[in-house]
Amino acid sequence: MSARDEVLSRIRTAIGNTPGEGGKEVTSPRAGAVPHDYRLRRDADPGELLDLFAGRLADYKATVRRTTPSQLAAAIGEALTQRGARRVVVPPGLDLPTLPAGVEAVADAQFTPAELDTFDGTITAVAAAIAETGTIILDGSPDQGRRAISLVPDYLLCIVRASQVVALLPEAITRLRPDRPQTWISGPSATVDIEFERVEGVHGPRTLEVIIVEPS
Amino acid sequence: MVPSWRDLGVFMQLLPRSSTGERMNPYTSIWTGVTPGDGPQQFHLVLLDNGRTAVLADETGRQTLHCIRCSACLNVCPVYERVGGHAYGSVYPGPIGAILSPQLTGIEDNASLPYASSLCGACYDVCPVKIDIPSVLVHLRARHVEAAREGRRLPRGEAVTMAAASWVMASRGRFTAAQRAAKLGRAVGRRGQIRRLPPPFAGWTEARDMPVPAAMTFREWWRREHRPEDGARG
Ligand code: SF4
Repeated sequence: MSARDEVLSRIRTAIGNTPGEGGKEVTSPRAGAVPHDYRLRRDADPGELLDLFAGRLADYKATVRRTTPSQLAAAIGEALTQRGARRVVVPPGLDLPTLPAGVEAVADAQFTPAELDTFDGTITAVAAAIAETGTIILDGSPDQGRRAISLVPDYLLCIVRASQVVALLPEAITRLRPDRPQTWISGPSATVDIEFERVEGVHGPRTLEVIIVEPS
Repeated sequence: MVPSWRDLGVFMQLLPRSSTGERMNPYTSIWTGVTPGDGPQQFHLVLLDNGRTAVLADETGRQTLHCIRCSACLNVCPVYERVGGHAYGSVYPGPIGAILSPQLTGIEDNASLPYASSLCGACYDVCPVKIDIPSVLVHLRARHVEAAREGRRLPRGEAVTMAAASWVMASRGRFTAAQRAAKLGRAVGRRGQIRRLPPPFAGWTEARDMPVPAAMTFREWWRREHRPEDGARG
């Protein structure tokens, strides 16, 4: 008997669920009948939704800019200039507008963590965003890249399209693919887990900036 | 473990709100095995029983396994506030530790934990997955008493006292007689307190005083207040 069989058989014994006739498993009648009678969606008009999202991000001390597709390049340029970032890493699949002179966007070439650490920041798109919790979700798609590029450089600039923002967490869950490597980000990285001392930059970058692109 | 991806949404909302009162925790990573070119290229998941199937087999105790480690019960517990985490003698402190540790290691190894509670119920009130911690504590106390009884040939003083009390309380006549007898204790009291009880009760007054029995029992008082002429039955 393998360790796996042993653990599983102990579980069956514990819940009185022994294989029935012909070794067929008896499953609990409740299996699959999980009630979903909590808040699953909230209808809000688009402007209200984006206001809520931007407000939550600001509450987490992230910088928020709102712009239109034609002004995106200018908004990115402004953000990088204010940050003083000259050399940033970007996912190979990210379709960026032409950036102002003096800013170099380098496509990720499987850089090592030490190499990533030499960049001034990272620009990525997102998979989805949740207004109520101020959460941005990356899922490793070509325009978001490997986890490491969003985690190692100390400045993360995310570009969120208005259509990617949903009101509630359960709405985002239905949009996401569970088999993608996801990172959920709600504000810059910080923790007070140890002795209630606030420490920033524990899981990821200390500075988060978000550009929301609204249809013009 | 949750049944489906969709059900994760419930816990992603419950956990940060119950834990730190945040809308959402700053960073959450979700892994589904290996992603080529991104992160570790080998993934192992180890399932460890570590006493948990024994917990699962106990119908009252198994709800303990629903815990999502939010720590809300710790933050409201008046006992935890006083004694701190180390007093629980395991990596699980607070109310949840008091019911989980004895079930994982066997009650005998953690016999004092189920008793270290006033059963105020604050933990049950805040628990996001509604673990009825006070009921499990009482259940574990009973299991401990039973285990202790089986391990001994002669009953302990406590068991004898409890058996005697149950015999006295089972009959109105015996109970009234006992209350009358207890009133004799007023003679040895000073300023409303008895400093030292005689054996076998001496242990009780080692660290505390015992208030003297009341001059009148509740039933005597009731009879006096509700005389038949008031229309009440005596
Ligand atoms: S028992 Fe309930 S309140 Fe306590 S840590 Fe577990 S889930 Fe949270």
